[in-house]
Amino acid sequence: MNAALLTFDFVLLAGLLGVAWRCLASTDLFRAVVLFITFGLLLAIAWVRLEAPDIALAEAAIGAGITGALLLVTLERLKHIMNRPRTDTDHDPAPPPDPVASDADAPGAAPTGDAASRAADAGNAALSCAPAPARGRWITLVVTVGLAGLLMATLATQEHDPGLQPTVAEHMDVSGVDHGITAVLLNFRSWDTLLELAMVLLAGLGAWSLGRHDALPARPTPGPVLPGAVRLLLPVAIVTGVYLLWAGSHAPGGAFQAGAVLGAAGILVSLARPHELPDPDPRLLRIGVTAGALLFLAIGLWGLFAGPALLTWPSELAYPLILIIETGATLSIALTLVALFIGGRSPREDT
Amino acid sequence: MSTASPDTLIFATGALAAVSLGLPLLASAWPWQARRIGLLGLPLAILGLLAAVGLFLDAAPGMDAPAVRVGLGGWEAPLGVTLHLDGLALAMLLLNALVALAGSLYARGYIHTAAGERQFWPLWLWLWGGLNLLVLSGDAFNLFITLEIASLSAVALVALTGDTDAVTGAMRYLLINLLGSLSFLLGAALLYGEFGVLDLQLLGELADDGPTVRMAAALMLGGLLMKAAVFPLHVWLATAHASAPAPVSGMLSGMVVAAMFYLILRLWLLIFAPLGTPALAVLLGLLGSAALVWGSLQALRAPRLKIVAAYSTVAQMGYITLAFPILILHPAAWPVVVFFAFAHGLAKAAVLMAAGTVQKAAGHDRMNALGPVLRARGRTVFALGLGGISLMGLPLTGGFLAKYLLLEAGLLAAADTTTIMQVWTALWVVMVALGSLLATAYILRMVAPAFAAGERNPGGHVSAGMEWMPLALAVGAAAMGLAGASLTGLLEHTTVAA
Amino acid sequence: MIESLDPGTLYPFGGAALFALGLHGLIRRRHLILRILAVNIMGSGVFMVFLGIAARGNAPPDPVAQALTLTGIVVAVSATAFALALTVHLARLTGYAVLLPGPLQTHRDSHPDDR
Repeated sequence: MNAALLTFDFVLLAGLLGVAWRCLASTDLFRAVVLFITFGLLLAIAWVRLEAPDIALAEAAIGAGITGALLLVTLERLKHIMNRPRTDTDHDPAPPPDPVASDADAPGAAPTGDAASRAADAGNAALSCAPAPARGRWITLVVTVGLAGLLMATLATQEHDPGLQPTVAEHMDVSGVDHGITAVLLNFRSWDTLLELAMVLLAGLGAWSLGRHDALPARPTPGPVLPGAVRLLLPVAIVTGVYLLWAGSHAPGGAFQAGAVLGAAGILVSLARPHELPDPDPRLLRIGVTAGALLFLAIGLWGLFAGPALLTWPSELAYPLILIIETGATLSIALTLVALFIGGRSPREDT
Repeated sequence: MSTASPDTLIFATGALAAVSLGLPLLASAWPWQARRIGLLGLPLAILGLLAAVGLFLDAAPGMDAPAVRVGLGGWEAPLGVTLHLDGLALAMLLLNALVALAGSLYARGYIHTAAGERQFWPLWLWLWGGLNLLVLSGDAFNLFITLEIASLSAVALVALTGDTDAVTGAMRYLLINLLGSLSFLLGAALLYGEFGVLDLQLLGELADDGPTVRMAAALMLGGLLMKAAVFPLHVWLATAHASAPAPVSGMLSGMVVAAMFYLILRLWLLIFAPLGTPALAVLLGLLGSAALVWGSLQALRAPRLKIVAAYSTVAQMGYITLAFPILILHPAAWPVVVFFAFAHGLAKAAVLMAAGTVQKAAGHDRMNALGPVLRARGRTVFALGLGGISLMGLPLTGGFLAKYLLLEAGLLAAADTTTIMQVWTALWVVMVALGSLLATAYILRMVAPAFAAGERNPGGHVSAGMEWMPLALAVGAAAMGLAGASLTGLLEHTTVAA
Repeated sequence: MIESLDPGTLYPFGGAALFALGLHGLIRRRHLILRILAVNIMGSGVFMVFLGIAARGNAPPDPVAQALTLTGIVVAVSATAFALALTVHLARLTGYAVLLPGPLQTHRDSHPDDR
C-alpha cells in the first residue's frame, strides 16, 4: 500500500470527523446543515476509495442531495413558523384545522404568550440554537470516547473474512444481471429491498398523516434564473435517471439512485413554482407511491404459488422481471421523495 | 392421522409474510377503503394464522428441525434472507393477532371521522404487519428493516392525536427508536465482519464468546432494551404510551414492547446464550428490580389514568427483565418470558383500552374526577379490574401462571448454584412478590372510585367495540391461566442453539 | 506496519469514531435538527464499518455488504424525512423545535381539558 494513498485516507477520515464535529457543535442551524451536506459529499469520496461506486452515487444523490434538500426546506419552514406572529392571520393563514386531530386539543392550545417577543427577534434568530450546556460535558465525553475505543478494539481483533463475496460470485450466472450489487438487491436479498420500498412509502404516509401540505415557504417572486435552470436541468435529470435505472443491471446505478435523481428533478420543478404546487388527484398519487412495492410483491407472489418460495423467479425471466420491478420502484421512490419535500397530504384527500 | 407435508408449511410461512405486507400496502394504496380492508383482512389473516398453527403442531413432531425455514427468492442462507417460523414465533404472531384484532374492533368506534380513518388504518395495518414481519424474520439485517418499519408506524400513530403531548411523546419515541435501531445495526455489522453471515441460525452455529460477540451482544441487546423501555432507558415510554390514541396505546404496551423482548429472547437463545455469566445476571436483576420499584411508584402517584397504566408497563417490563437472570442460571426456564409477555400483553392492552373508554366517556382521564363515570360503567371497570388482577398475579389468571413459573424457575435456579447467587436469586423472588403488592396498590387506585358512594354519570357515548373489546382482552388474559398448557406445547418446538 | 493499514482496516475504525461522535452530539444537543443530523452521522459510521469490512483483503469487495449499505442509506433517508416532518409539526404546535426536559402537560394535574 503506498504512502500517498495512506496519507489520503488519513486526511479524508480526519476531514470527515472534523466536519461532523463542527456540524454537531454548531449554534447556527443553516451552517450545520451546510456542513452536513459537505460531510455527505466527503463520504461519497470515501465510498469510492472503498471500491463502492454504487454507494458513492447513492450517497451523493440520496445522502447528501435529497437529505440536504429536505433539511434546507425544513429550515425554511422553521424560520417561517417562528417568525410568524401567531395572531396575524390575514397575510399568512394558518393551515386549516386538521380533521384527524379534531377530537383532541386544537392547535390553538399551544402556548402563544411570547409570540410577539419571538417575532421581534426575527430574522436568523429562528435558525440559531443554544450551545450544549457545560453540565454533563465530561461524562458524555468519557462514555462516547470509551465506546469508540471498545468498538475499535473489537474491530482490531477481527480476522479478514471474505464475507459472502465468493457465494455471490458463484451464483451470478443465475441472477439475471451482471452487476453484483443489483443481483443481491433484486434477487438474492430481494426481501430486504421490498421492505425498504415499504419503508420509503411509510415515511411518506407518516408525513401525510401529520397534516395537510401548505404552500412552500414563500419567497420573493421567482426570477428568470430558476425556471430557466429547470428547463435546462429537467431533461438532463430525466435522461440521467433513466440511464442509471438501465445501467443498474451491469454497472453502478439502479432503482434507488435513479429514483433519487428523478425525485430531485421533481423537487426542482416544485421549487420553481412555489405558489402553484402540483396538486394531482390524491387517488392517483396514492396509487403512484405504492405501485412500486405492490408490483414487486405481486410479481413475488408467483414464486409463492409456483414454488419454491415467495419472491422466486425463474432465472430465464429474471432480467425482464428485475427491470420491471426497478422501473416501478424508481417511479414510486421519486414520487414519494417529492411528496416528502412538499410536506403534508393533499387537502383534496380529506374531501 | 395426516401429517402436513413440509411444502404446505413453507407455503403457509410465505403466505403469512405476503399477507403481512400486502394488507398494509393495499390500505396505503386505497385509504378510502382502508377500514374495510383492515376489518375484513385482519380476521382472514388470523384465520390463516390459526390454520398455520394447526398445521405446525400437526407436522412439528415429524420434522427433523424445530423450525420451518423458508429461503425467500429460493435462496437459502447465507446468500438469501430466511423466514424462521417456530413455536416461539407462532406464539408471538398469535399475541400480535389478538391485540391487533381487539384494537381494530375498538378503533372502529374510536376513530370516527372519515379523514381520520384514512390516516389511521393504513398506519395501523403497517404496525401489525411490521411486527409480524419482525417475528418471522431470521436474518440480522432484515430484522433492522422490520424494526424500523414497526417503529416508524408506531411513532406516526402516536402523533395522530395531534396534541402537543402526543407529538412531543412521538418525537422522543422516534429518537430513541432510531438510536436503538442503529445500535442493533452496528452489532449486526460487527457480527458480519467476524463471521461473514447474517442469518441468525448460522450465526448461532459459528458464535463463540470472543470480543466481537460480546460487543455485538452489548450493542444489539442494549438497543432493544432501549426500545423495550427497560430502566434506566424508559423515559420515553410514559408520554408516548399515554398520549397515543387508545387502541394504539394498547398495541404499544401490549405488543410492541413484547416484540422487543421476543427479539432479545430470540437472539439470546440462538446466539448470545454462552455469554451468560453471574455478573450479567446480577446486573439485569438490579435493572429489573429498579424498573419494578420505580415504575410502580410512578404509577402510584400519576395524576391520570392512562399514565398510571403506562408506568405500570415500565414496572411490568422490570418483571420480564428479572426473568433473564433466572434464565442465565437456569436456561430451560426461557418459556417463562413468553408466558409473561403473553399474559401482560393481553392484560395491559385491556387496561389501556379500558382507560381509553373511560377517557372518551368522561372527556378526560384525571384520576381525582373519574368517580361518576367509573360508577356508571360497570363493564369497563370490570375490564380494568380483571386486567389488573391478571397484572397483580392472582390465582387462576395468566399473570398468576407467569409469576408462578417465574418463582418456580427462580427457586430451581437457586437450587443448583453458589451461595452468593442463591442470595441474589432469593432477592429477585422477593422482588417478584413485592411487585405484586405494588401492582395491587395501583390497580386498586384505578378501580376503587367505582365502589365509593356518589353520583353516577355515564358521560359521553362510546361504541360497543369500545365497551366490549377491553373486556374480551381481560377475559383472554385471565383465561391464559387455564390455557397455559397449549402455549407450552407450541413453545416446545423452538430453535434453541445447542 | 503500513502494510496492515489497508482501507479495510482503517475505515472501520473511522466508522466507529463517527458512530461515537454522532452519539455524543445526540446526547449533548437539544435542538431537533441537530439531533437528527447526529443520528444520520451515527448511521454513516455504521455504513462505514460495513463498507470497510466489505473492502478488507485483496479479493473484490463484498457486494452483499455494499447492498446492505445501500438499503441502509435509503432506510436512513426515509426515517430522516419523517423525523423532519415531525419536527415541523412539533414546531407548529409549540413554537419550538427543541425537546425540553421536564414534565409534560400530561404529568401535571391541570390539563387544557379543564377549561
